[in-house]
Amino acid sequence: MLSLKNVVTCYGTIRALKGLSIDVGQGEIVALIGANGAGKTTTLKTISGLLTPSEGEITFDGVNITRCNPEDIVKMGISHVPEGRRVFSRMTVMENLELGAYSRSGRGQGRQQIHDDLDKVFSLFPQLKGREKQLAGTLSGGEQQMLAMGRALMSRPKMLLLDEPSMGLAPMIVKDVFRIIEEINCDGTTVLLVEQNAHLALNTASRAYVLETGKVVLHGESRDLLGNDQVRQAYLGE
Amino acid sequence: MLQQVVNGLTLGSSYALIALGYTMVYGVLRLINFAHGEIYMVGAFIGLMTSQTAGLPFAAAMVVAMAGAALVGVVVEKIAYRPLRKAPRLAVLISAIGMSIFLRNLALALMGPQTRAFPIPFEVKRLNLGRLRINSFDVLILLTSVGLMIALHFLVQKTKIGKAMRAAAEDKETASLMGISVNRVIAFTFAIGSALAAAAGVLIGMNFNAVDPSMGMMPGLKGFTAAVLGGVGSIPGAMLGGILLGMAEVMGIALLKSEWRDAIAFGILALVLLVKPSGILGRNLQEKV
Ligand SMILES: Nc1ncnc2c1ncn2[C@@H]1O[C@H](COP(=O)(O)OP(=O)(O)OP(=O)(O)O)[C@@H](O)[C@H]1O
Ligand SMILES: [Mg+2]
Repeated sequence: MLSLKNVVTCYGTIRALKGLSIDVGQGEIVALIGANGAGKTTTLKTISGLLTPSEGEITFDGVNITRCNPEDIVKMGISHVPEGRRVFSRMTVMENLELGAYSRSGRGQGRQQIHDDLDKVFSLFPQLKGREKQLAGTLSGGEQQMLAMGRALMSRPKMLLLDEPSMGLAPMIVKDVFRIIEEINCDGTTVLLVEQNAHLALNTASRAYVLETGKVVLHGESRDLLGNDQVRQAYLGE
Repeated sequence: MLQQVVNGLTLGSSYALIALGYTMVYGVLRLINFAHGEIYMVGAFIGLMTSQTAGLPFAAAMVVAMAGAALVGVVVEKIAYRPLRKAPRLAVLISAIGMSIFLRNLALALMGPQTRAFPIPFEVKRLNLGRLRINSFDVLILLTSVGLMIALHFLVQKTKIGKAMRAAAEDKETASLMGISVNRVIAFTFAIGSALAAAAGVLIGMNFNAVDPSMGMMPGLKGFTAAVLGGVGSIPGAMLGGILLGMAEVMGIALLKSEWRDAIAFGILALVLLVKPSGILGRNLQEKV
């Protein structure tokens, strides 16, 4: 469904991705793990069009999206939940969710569909219910993560890019978030998950890629990686 | 006293209209558009030409002036600011000043240096309430400004494009992830800000019965002062700052002499920048202008 081939992305003269190739199939949860600075965030930003690769090719559903801008990529069905959540803090919860649906038409039938999707988001994230008029900046970290995910779902994505959804959250909340990620996936949304917490990532995803300094050094089924000595030492702290 | 309040409100609401353009552009681009005063001048000229040569009624001339200035604002953004989106701040500032000089000289070349009278397309009525004197201009300026500000508030708070503007003002990168075309939002912001300045240009040009190529300079600086006073980046701040500045000027003239008018305004500017650069309603600024 999504495929990156030998992608190179640079910040000025620094090559952050050095010929990265990954594939994500329809309906999968695929994890991207790696140490700080390995290039995980850069990979997601390159997919969603915030960064343009200098070499390589990205295709989604058979369409070449290598040089598309972020606005068009959302419309094609890829929704990116950025690192650090990045909710619009001076806007209300409801406005944030409405912005998530910005790329959709709000006329005629579209209006009803957006309404239905709002209901869906509120039932997926009951914590957001009753807070429609609250400013997003006043939500707790966990609630902001839920809002960021709900906002991303409002574009009706075929594929969700999640950048460190567990960052800074209490273990209880992390469990909730990951249960919801699985629920979203069961509903048919493909997920590409970036996670520092390799344990969590490998237990959620069916497959994973291990990144080091802008390259894939290892990939395979999660359960194989969980048993891999290299991975256990470097990422699972064993 | 009451007379001063009315005068202050009229003057202040026209400052507020100008201040809104500075503040909205600053909100999305963190940039002071120093060509804004010239947009005001261009608006006044378009209003003058349409009511003089085309003989359009006031409301129509106003609409044409606003639309024309909006277009000019969009073009200014496209050629003077967009290519410098990632350039250092100083380069953008120089480009802004260059654009301002260019527009003033373009008007000079096209229209000549003379001050033109603004034909008044309606009958001016005067109303005396005891010692309070109000004329049609006061009423027109107040009603138009308040109407435009209400419309702006609705636009920014309730409409889809308004929400996109607020989102882009907060976080452009994430806004683009929502499917918002940030370039289009920025162009729209310039259009709205310029249209409001043009409205002020027409109203003031008519009130003082004078339109000339350098007329934008002083009101431009006053609008900037009002925006800073209210808190640059804040829309309610620009409205409040405009009114307060208008009041302060009128009161100051009543107490001192009319020569003090500009000194008062710029004294306020200096004071705000020294004491509270974020203004009355502004958020604390992380970046320097
Ligand atoms: N805006 C930038 N300008 C210059 N270099 C950058 C920029 N953003 C990231 N980098 C560099 O690119 C490399 C990859 O960064 P990236 O943010 O993708 O890592 P990451 O795997 O997401 O790390 P983390 O786990 O800390 O989020 C790093 O060496 C980083 O210093
Ligand atoms: Mg990262």
